[in-house]
Order: sequence, then structure tokens, then C-alpha cells
Amino acid sequence: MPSDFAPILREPVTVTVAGTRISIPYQPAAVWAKGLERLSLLAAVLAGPDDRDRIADLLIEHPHAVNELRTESLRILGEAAGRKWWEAGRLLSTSVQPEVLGRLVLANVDPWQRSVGEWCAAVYALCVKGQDEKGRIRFDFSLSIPPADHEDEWDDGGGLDPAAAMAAVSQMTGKR
Amino acid sequence: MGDDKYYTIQIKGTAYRFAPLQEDDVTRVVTVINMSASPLKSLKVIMKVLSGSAGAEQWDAITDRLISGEVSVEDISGKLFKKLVERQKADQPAPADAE
Repeated sequence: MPSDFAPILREPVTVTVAGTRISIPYQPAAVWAKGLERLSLLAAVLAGPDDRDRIADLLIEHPHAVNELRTESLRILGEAAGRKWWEAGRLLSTSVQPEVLGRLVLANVDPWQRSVGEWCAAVYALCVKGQDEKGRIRFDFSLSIPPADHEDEWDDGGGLDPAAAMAAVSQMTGKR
Repeated sequence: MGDDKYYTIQIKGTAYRFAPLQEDDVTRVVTVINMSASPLKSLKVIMKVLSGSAGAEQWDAITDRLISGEVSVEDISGKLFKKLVERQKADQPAPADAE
């Protein structure tokens, strides 16, 4: 079970591919950000060379393992960042935009020294800085929308009071 | 997928018939190639997928030529796989929403 402290930990994460557990060593945020280029293979990209070859062997022997690798790659991104994988992905993508990266660098936040969770938290803090409540809710909402084909992973917290939901939507859209 | 569909591809002067590759198999090959594993793993996955497509008898003949040096690894891993995927792609109807 993911820990509340996952974003600040520097521990390996474990993936299971074709029934085989593989430990992925701790990697700083910069490596995760680069790994986004191959999101569906992220676990293999982050693995050490020997484990990467092991994963390749599992994919060769077990056709269904490609989907498992993809699912596990998304899962560990969320686990390591301490938020939904697509939120972490968006924050990581935002972090390399010149203006955002420049501000982070000027603030001495180094992606080679920070965990992916810390890096995402820094980007989030930068994005909501100076925003009023409405702006913040809008940002949170845009961040939280799952990508196409992953809508069923959207955890709305369950049991949301319909009246509260309507009020929140009114507030977000500015319609009363 | 029709069982009677084949693609004829020449490897250094000899024609072989290949059954269409399953989409999952193509994904598997591309995944292993893109994950930066050792080059041997890329070759292994391509050979596994192509052997299924060629059938045992033809694949035996192809690997014999590979072992004798008549055919190179590049002929199999790069050219043949690429050609087969390209032929298959060219054969597929355009998506319904394509302009």
C-alpha cells in the first residue's frame, strides 16, 4: 500500500510482470521526467540493465506481459509521486517548460537531487502560487481529469453529496 | 484475421510466405526494442515473432541460411520484420474517421 510519505522517500519501487517481482531502484525526478517519453515502458526504463533484460525476457515469453508492464509503469509513477499517475505526468511535463524550469532552478530545486514526489510538489506549488481559491480549484480540476481511456480510474472520493457537487461545479464554472 | 492471407517476401533471392503478424506481437517487438534492453533481446523477440509467422519448416530453412552466413542478422531483424510490418500496414483499410 502506498505510504503518505511516498513523495519524500528514496526507496525502490516494486513491479510485477508476468508473475515476477522486480525491484526498481530509487531514481531522482530528472530520470522520471526523461522516462515520460516512454511512459508505457517506464518501469523498464527505470530498471537497472540486468532487470531490464529480465523484463525483456518476460515480454518475449509472455505476450500478455506488455500490458502488465504498461499498467505497472503507470502505477509506480503514481506511487512514487504520491498522486494519480496522470497528475504526476502532467506536473513532470510542466516542469520542463522553460519558464517553470527556470523558476525551479532559480529556487535551487534540482531534479537530480529531488524525488519525483518532491519535484511534482514543487511544480504544483509554483503553479498555484498567487492564485485565489477559484483559480486553485480550476487548476486542481484540470490536473485531476484522467486522460482518455482512463476515465474509470477517476476516484471522485465516493459518496459526494449531490448538493455539494453542484455547488462546487457552480463555483468552478463561475455560474450561479 | 483470415488464415489464408500471406505475404511473400524475398530474403536474398529466395521467396518465403509469411502469415500476417498479430498486432500484439508487433507491439511486443516494438516494446522490447524501445526499452533499451541488450540488442540480443531485440533479436530474440523479432525471431520469436517471425518464426511464428513463417511456420516451422520455412523458419528452419531461414535459420539454416543465417547460421551458414548466407543471410545476415540485419536481413532478418531489420529488413524482413520492417518489410512485413510495412506490407501489412499498406494492406489495412484507412480508419473510418480519416479524411
